[in-house]
Amino acid sequence: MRNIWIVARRELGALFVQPIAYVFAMAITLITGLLFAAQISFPLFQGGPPPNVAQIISTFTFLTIFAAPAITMRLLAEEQQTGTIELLMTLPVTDLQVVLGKFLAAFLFYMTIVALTVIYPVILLRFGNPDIGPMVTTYLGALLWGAALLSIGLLASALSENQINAFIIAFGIILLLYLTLIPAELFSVGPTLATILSELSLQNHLNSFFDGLITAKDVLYYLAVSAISLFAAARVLESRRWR
Amino acid sequence: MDEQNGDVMIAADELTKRYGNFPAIESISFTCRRGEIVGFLGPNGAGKTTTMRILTGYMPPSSGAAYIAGYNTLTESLQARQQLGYLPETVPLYPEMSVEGYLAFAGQLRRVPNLWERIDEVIAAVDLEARAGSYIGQLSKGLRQRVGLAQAMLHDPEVLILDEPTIGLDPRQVVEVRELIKELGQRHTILLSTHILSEVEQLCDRVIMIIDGRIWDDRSMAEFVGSAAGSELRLQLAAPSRDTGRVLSSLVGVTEVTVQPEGFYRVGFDGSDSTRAAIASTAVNASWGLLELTVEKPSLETVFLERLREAEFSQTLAAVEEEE
Repeated sequence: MRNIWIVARRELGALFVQPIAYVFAMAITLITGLLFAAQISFPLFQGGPPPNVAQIISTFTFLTIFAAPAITMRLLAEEQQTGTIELLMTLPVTDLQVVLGKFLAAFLFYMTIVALTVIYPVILLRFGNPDIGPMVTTYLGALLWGAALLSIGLLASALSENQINAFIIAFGIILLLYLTLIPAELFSVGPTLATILSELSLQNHLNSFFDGLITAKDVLYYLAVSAISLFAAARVLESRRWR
Repeated sequence: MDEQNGDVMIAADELTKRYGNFPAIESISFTCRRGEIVGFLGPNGAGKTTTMRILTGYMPPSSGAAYIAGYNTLTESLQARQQLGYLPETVPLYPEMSVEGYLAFAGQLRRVPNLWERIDEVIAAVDLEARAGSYIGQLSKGLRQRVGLAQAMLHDPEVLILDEPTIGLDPRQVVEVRELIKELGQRHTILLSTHILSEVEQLCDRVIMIIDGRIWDDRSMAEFVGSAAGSELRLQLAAPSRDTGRVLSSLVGVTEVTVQPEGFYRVGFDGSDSTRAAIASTAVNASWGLLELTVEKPSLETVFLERLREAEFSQTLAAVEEEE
């Protein structure tokens, strides 16, 4: 456990000295900020639905489809490319600890960006009387979603020495899992396959969180995607040494 | 393999590593004892780095086993790594970390007690006090090399594996780092790979020479240097006669005589004591005024190149035999 934290802390240092951290923070606050401003001004002038945190977070989670692979692409790929992995792997730390440490760093980084959006519910709570329950489940969903995407990104980063390749692999896997809903809805694939495809979908499991529901099925889905990806990443890292 | 013996700190047991079908090393076996500084020699591509990577546990062997302080590098990897300090050839370090920050990172993973005091000690030992807070990415190659060395010795490991530790250093630092290695070698076991043969001559108790992935020689430094096919005598005569050169070369065991100015002669001979005695008594009996008679020890470089030629010759021979 301590080793995981030592690796994570080093990685956080590396993440925050890079401009990418601030670019993301800016882009995300800008886009969600514009959205929030539109949300509160339209009902004021034209009438319409009241401001809704789930809508902002849903845009936010869509943006992380691009952001998550960008955050994770260098985590293992860079170590392999520059050779720093050689010293890391001769320190008394296991492959799984390295992977979990790097995941933890990426997740804490993600949480920092998520935390920037908490300003919107705080404003709503200050000036209105919204339902707190759905806000909490929305944020829980966003965190689970982030864990799954970052884990996939980390697996891709273990698979490649090249950061760009790592990004493309991660983006490809995420997009594939994101879009399994489309064939299930558009084509007559039969009820069994339709169920399988929609249950596989990354996006499908997020909706109930936005509606204020926490279901074991959805929580388990994201945890399983994360666990499988992280475990696979550790195995890939181990196997690279055998070549 | 006698890894039960507590004194054996590095043990390689029939290590073989293949990259695809290409055998990088084949059946490498050797042991290093506590307090030994062992020079690991061989031409580029001979398999030195591969062997070192297997010993550090970075890479598993295709077959065979390696032990550090008695721990199997594969099955007891973490214990083995704890006993080991490693300086890789290219010293890969995180450029965005400070020198202190990096040492703290490595030291925390290694559970070094009184870490910050120890960091100050090793930074002083490699003479990096002025750059302790600098980012590694801003350091020159020589300075990075010293950070790598500081990292390797940070936890005071039983075993140090150093791949070309003085490369990229300026002459003064080279001397300092050699002193450091010598000092470390009194209590630790050091496996040192380098192309600088004078360094090996100064530092090492033993030489392991590896050619084409196989151990070609494994002997103490004295034996290795003494294994040269011939030796040379330096002779200074006050009153040599005109036929001195001819008389000397007619002696049994003398292979070559070179006449040099100021009465100096270089005499190549078979290395035996009787030949040496014969040369001395001949010079005295002929009243040449013997001023000096010194055995010139062959340098490690001479022996190294000689062994390399032997290896090449035996390979050519094997190839010819194969064709026939």
